[in-house]
Amino acid sequence: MKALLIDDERLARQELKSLLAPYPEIQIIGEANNAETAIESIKQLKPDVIFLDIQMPGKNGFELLEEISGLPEVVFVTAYDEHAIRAFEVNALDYLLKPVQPSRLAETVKKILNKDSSVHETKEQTQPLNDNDQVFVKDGEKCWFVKLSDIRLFESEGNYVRVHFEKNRPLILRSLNNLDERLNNRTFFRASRKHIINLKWVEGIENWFNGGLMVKLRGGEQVEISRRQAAKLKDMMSL
Amino acid sequence: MKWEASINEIELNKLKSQLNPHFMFNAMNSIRALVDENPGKSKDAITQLSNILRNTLQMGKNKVIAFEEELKIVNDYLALESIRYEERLKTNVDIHPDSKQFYVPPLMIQTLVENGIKHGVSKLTAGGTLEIKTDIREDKLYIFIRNSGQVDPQKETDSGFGIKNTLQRLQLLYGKSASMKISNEDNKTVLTELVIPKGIVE
Repeated sequence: MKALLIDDERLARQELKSLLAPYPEIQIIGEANNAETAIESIKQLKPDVIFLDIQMPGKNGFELLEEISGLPEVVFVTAYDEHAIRAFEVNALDYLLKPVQPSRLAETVKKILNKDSSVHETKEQTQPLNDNDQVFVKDGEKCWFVKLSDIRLFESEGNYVRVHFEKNRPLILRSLNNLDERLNNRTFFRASRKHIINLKWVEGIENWFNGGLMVKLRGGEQVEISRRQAAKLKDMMSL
Repeated sequence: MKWEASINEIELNKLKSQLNPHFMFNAMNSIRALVDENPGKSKDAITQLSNILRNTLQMGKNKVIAFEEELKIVNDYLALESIRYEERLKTNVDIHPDSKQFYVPPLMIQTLVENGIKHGVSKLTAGGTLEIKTDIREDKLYIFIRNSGQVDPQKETDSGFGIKNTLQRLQLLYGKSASMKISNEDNKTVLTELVIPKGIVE
């Protein structure tokens, strides 16, 4: 797993490096001391996970996330917990408090490696899925064999993804990133860190705050498209 | 009169500065890294942090403390922030020798210095300077704190709670004979000017 450390303080990065040293599975491929540099490094080095401080000069950690497209897993590392709820909203993998406790970091590493093995699993089934393909969905006792074109929305919830089709909302143990890789991107669009929508189910689009869009799906769901992704959608879909 | 004095007392207690938890946890985090890198410096840092914590805990007991005591806290505070920000924070302290005849509200200068770093240096990628200078004019102590950056008086966070709090504390302790103002001295420096008289209102 390739990791990038982003913190404006050298000592804070140093501390994280020494805490991660016992885990050879986590390979630190770079460091950045501000958001601008970090965005460049993410583009070039394509890390699987970023360890991200929130308060930095220039753009803060949340603003950084709005500007990147690769969407690596995010672990926030910050000194104080007033941001925890927002970190949850942007679907961060984990949230660590400085000074980081080694035992707590062990849990984070476990989560990171779990994500990695789920990537390997889907690598075996490498063929991208076609809209007419049917997929097997299981939630507890219930099972469905559902056509992809019937799925309106994938919504990330922690380590799970909620699948919206017909009147059903089962949860499956997958990451949105895995799904995104396997789905046909002409039909399924990554609306934000938390959502993939089926464009064929779009009923209406409205301009939203900060240059984003609000999409209404037949079926009633409303999904916000982040500013960055909105620009991508406009690019992709205009004549 | 007595009743009014006790109301004052209660108000003052409510207004006391508190140590910013961000500062504390970030300092501890720097120290943790420093233990490997520079054990001697990390020991000094622990002593400096202890000194600040002790003073915060004892603060409840006194309305004012000797200027020199406050200066020690401020110096310890700056030493810790210098560890954290490294070459990004440059400090410069220039104290008039007669300043030691004065008393000041505990942690007030520290809070203003912390504001200067939080809203100034810490927001600048290239870093900046924090300067403290004192002078005696007409039997009053003038404290000038200069930091890189700019204040926007329209913005609530820049002129926020800490500043209102400081002004109210000054008013309760000294009436009209103390003052504080924050302004842009030029297009890259913020000046905080604090004026403290010799005695408090009893």
